[in-house]
Amino acid sequence: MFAKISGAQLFTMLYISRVFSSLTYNIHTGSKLDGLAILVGSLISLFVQILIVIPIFKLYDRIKYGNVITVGYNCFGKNGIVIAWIYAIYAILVGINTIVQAMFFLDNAVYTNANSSLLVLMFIGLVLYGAISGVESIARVSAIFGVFFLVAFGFIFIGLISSIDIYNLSPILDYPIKQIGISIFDNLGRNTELVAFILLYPYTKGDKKKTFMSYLILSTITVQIIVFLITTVLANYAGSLVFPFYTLTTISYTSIFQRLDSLHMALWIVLAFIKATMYIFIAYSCISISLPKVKKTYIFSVVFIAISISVYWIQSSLDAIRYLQGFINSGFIVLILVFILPFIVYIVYRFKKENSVDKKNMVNTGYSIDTI
Amino acid sequence: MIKYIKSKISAIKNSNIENIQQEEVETPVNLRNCLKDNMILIREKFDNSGDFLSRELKIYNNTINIIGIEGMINFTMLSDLLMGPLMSADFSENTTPEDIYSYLETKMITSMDLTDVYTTDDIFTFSMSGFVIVLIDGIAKGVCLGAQGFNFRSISEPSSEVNIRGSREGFTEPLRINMTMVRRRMKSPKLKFELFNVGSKSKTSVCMMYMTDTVSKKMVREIRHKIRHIDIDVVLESGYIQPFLEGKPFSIFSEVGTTERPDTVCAKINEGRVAILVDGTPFALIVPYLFSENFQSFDDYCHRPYYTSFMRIIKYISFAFTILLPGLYVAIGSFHPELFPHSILFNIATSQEATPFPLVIEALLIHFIYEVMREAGLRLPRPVGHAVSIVGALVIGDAAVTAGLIGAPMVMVVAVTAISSFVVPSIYEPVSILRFGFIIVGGTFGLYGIGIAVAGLLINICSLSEYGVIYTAPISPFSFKAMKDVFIRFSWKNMNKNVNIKNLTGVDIQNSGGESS
Repeated sequence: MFAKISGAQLFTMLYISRVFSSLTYNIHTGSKLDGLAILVGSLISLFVQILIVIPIFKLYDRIKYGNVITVGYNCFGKNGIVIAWIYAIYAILVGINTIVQAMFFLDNAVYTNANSSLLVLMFIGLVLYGAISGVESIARVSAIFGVFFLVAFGFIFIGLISSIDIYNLSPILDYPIKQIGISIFDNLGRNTELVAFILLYPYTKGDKKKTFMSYLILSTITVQIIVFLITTVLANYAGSLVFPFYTLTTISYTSIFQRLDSLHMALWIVLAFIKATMYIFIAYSCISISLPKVKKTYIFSVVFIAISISVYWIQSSLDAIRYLQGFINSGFIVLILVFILPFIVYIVYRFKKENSVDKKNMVNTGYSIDTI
Repeated sequence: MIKYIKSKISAIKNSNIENIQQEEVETPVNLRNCLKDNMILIREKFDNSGDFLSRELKIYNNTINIIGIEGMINFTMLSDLLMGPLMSADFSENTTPEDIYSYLETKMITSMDLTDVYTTDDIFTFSMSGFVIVLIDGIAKGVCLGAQGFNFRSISEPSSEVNIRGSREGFTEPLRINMTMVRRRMKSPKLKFELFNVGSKSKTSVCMMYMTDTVSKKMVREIRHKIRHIDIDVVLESGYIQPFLEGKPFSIFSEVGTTERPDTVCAKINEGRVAILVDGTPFALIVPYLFSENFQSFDDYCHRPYYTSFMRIIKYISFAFTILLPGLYVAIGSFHPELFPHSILFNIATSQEATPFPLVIEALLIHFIYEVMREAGLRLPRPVGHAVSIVGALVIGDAAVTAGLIGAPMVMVVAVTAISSFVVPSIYEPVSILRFGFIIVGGTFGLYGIGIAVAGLLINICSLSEYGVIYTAPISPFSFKAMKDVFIRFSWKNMNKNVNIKNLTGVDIQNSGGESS
């Protein structure tokens, strides 16, 4: 009843979501980091991410049921709603950010003269439809899109091999430690999927630790390849681009396909769709735990209106986009939601309520994700 | 106030429903000892229908009445089964009604379909299926024996699933014959038939068949429950009950499959599925059905694996062509022409210069004409249908291009799409609609629209999981063992011999296996 998706499906969802973040990489324009610093930083970040999830794994090993929100409710009573809403708001913000990013690309690179209102509405509608269909449907679709991504990425990679210039991967000369440090933190901030993982954990069957490790390793490899391609093919030119990976695909050339930017566009839409849908579902699941008596239709209606208004407003202001991305991609937020908050819940659970909190109590409080 | 009005309205509604239900529910009328009374009741029940047959006979002091429906009884069989034995029976003046009844019950061994009926409703139902009912004065029940003699189409090659190798037998209309066609192929005691009457007026016989050793008990219970609760007046085709077995009514694809082939039914029920036959229909329903099964045909299992695999890939590509090609062509041609190779782009641009309509209108128009012609060719008598096809081919293929109404590349796209659509005939219906949908979104939003539509379609397909079986299995969720018969087909030697839907990844059927109750 509880576990609805397999570990492989969870892995695919997280991987696709992470890949979308990687395709939006324009780190050169932001922190002006060297390519090598980003590569080294993402590698070290892998170990940092393993470390910060230890408390949540400890907690989940003990409860065997529910997630950090349901445990929060059982530890803090009605005040547990704060935890639920923190995660819900974060998930909605990531969903909004994903939609904004997807639309920003379409507005600026593809449909430069079009009125984006209808495009946005279509996309939000689709995302809501996906979220309403449930986590199983999202997981199944993400598996299909995962295969599509690998094939398309393979095509793009092959098309770029001749353009790779390894000399563009210059050594880190200026403040190497600082650059790597920024890169580690930046990688952590971009890995919002860690939050998704801890919230989707109870929906998943099988060995979750293995799933998590597979996700971390393979997503890091993918990020490394993307950053390597951007750095070695585009070199300093990447620093002036908003969508460096899109530029890569326009350069990529494979046999009869004159340009592969069509593939990029297709990838962009479907990956953004999976990511946004997954986070909107997570937001819904958090809200429905805190408001168990409110109907699914009402929750989704409110979420639809909230997202539509927010996306229209944020999209119209570059500053708003920048602030939102800065907030979402801040390593501190991920650190709080993945490490600090679960750690507090774990401590409270471990030392105060361990004896009284059990599966039966959780169901009795009415705060259970069984109802989702 | 609003609550009060609502409660009043619902009370009125409920009282209306109750009244209607009281009017409609007829309690069965039991037969009586007096034959005359019974005949009055029966004639009332049949409402003096013109095809009602009744023949009164005297056996010494006893009166019997033989009842049937004209055109549904084989009179030769009737005389062999009933009249002959009755005439040669050793009756005397002391023969009582009980003796005649006992004789009919115990000595009429030539008829296998022999049962007792106790109500006028039973008499009505059996006689409508070609049974003959014998009523004896002094006995409050009738003897019902099968002497069906109505005409029906003989067993012939299935028209919708033609194959090169394998059996040429397809289902026909009478249910019993279809049941025997399955039974002949599965000589196993595990094969079980369950009969139901569906349709409050038509009382159509519906047969649910499955293998007790492979099917899931829970699934059988669920399907049985659904069939028993079908609320419909008339069932004239299996399509009438299909929506009652489906989970999501708004889904474009269906989790219920159809086949005209008894061998396909046997293969499916052996994999743990349930087949449903409806009297008067040469199509069996298969529940649950997977998306990948639309691309399988019986020939696949007769040919060499490499050829079958090749054909499977062709089918999947054809499916993609059918739904996506016109939409993609319109999207790229209208919004992203830079994606075409230069030589193709010049040809398209040249043809577009000579035509008055934008690509999207051209595509919609030509597909609309194609669908009209297809429908006309299908419904008209065959010789006229061919004429329509020829006119269509000339009009669209030549005249429209020559007149400068439609570009030649668009004709090519439509031709490829049309031919591709016939490669997978089982999903022709959703594909036709999807094709139009993709043309519209492609022509309105370009590749973005296509991407959105593909994502929406996939979500729609992936959310289907009626009876705990996921429609997209074994592709997603992935199941390697079952993938040996999806995109490519392994040899029989290497395929898993115990293929069962219960073993697919992600399938959630509890209480699986064993004898069903």
